Amino acid sequence: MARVLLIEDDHLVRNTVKITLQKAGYEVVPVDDSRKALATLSTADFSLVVTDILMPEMDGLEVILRIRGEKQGIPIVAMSGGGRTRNMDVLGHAQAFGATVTLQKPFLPDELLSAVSQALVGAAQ
Amino acid sequence: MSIGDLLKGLFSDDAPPRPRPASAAAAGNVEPVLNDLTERLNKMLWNRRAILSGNIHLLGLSRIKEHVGSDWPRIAERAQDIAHKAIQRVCTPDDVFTRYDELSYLVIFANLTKDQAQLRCVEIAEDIARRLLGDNFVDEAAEVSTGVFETDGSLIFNAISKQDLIKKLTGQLSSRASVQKGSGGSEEEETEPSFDQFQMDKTKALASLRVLYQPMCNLRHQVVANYFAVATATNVFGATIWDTAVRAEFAAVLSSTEFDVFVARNVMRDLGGHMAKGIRILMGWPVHFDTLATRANREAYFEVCREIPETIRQLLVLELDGLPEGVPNSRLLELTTVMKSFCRTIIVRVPADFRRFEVFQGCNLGAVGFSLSGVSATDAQRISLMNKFVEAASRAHLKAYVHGLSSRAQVLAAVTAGFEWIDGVAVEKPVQAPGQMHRFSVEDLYRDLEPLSG
Repeated sequence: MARVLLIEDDHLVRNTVKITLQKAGYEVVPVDDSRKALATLSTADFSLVVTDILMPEMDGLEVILRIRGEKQGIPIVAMSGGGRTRNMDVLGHAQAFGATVTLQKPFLPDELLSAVSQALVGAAQ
Repeated sequence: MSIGDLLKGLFSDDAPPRPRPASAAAAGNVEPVLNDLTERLNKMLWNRRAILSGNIHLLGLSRIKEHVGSDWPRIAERAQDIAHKAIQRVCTPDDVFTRYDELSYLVIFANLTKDQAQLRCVEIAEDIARRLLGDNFVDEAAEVSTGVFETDGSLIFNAISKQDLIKKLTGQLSSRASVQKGSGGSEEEETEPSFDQFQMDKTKALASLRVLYQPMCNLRHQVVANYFAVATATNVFGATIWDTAVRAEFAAVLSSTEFDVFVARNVMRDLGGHMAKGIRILMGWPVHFDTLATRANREAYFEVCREIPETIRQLLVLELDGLPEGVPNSRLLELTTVMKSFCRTIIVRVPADFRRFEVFQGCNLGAVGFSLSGVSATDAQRISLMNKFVEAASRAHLKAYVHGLSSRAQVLAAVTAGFEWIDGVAVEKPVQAPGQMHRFSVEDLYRDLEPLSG
């Protein structure tokens, strides 16, 4: 069973993503804070990271860069609303920084599951 | 173990805090407050600022409450509001404060010694008392405790009195005077040191004032093409203060007009020098509403503005700050019309929770904005504030800017919220002299990530 580290500061989104992934058979470790997430990742094995981008204190772009500095191969799904902006393509940056798959919020459960399996398949190849 | 480690341990999940507050009333449910404080302390530690034992102070209102008696419930909310603002007014962006319970606040001054910080707390307590009760109760109002760590890592608050503090500080000054005398000091140096030696006068204030330039990023064009003048100074306690904190600090000795004229003259000189070298950049500077409020002040200020050559006016952005609540549209129109003749565009700085943007209708403003450094909130709350601010400004067809971004996460949140202009140490640090226009990219923010601490 794939073990997923979920980093999302929004309680509602975190729970929704967690339940969706658990129902699909994934083991999910939810974390609401990027620093805690990086500490967790350094001490345990995960098959995949699913991270939000806009988070307080340490944003998801920094999380991706730090993970890529330490754990080169682990697949990362980056998700973001980041909708109001006309100045920046947040998910484009996430991809450039090393996200395996990106996911625009809001998304349907099937889109999440598809992004997760796409990232896992990509990593396995 | 370092004090930083102790603090981290003190506020970590496995080692719950055990503060013993000065007042019994402080023994309520403090968990949310401590969580908030933990978050901000972590940030302080993250930024590698030292937290020293004796730097944590508890500022109480219970003596004021006792004095007010049965009227307290009626004025409690106002008292807390006044206390919050009084603390906020003297805190620099490096300091941390938070409400501890109904009757007390925790304050940590990042750059003051223990004695300086205690004195500052006494001043705040007196300010609160004066605003609430007038001058009669001021001497009895101070209720300050200082936290010190015990060997087991717990935090104990020891109450101090103003009298003891003055005695201690004047004792220190006496010792210094004796040392000076011993090393050939003159008769004048032997004069009795007093509490007044900690007061600022106009000469000291002006001598301490400097103007730095905060690079401001235009997000639409991803370029730093604008430098914003920021006043900085050293206060009587030797701490560096910035921006509106400088104005507040020197308010007793420097009028708003004097302050604004000082900044304006500095900017004109520096921008003139740049023009002479063929460098063309936009330059912003603040002007306070008080400076423009009365005819006499306004004229003194505009007299300086009239000296600005036309070529420089085309590069100036004037930021109107300190708008009083409820200022009518007609008044704003009148002011902005006159201001407009001296600059390229006018922007207005308002409080972060300001929403009456319709008052700016017809004022032909370049943008509205606020400073995040003056906002006492968690990072998550700051991000939420930024989103709400841009939404509200957009509804009024106004562009928005934000000063004082201090972390990458805040920058990213500001970019995605839709601000047109952003600045702060997380974007670029203030500089002594404005530089050339240059590109800004989000990638630059993430270059050279420092190692994680803690």
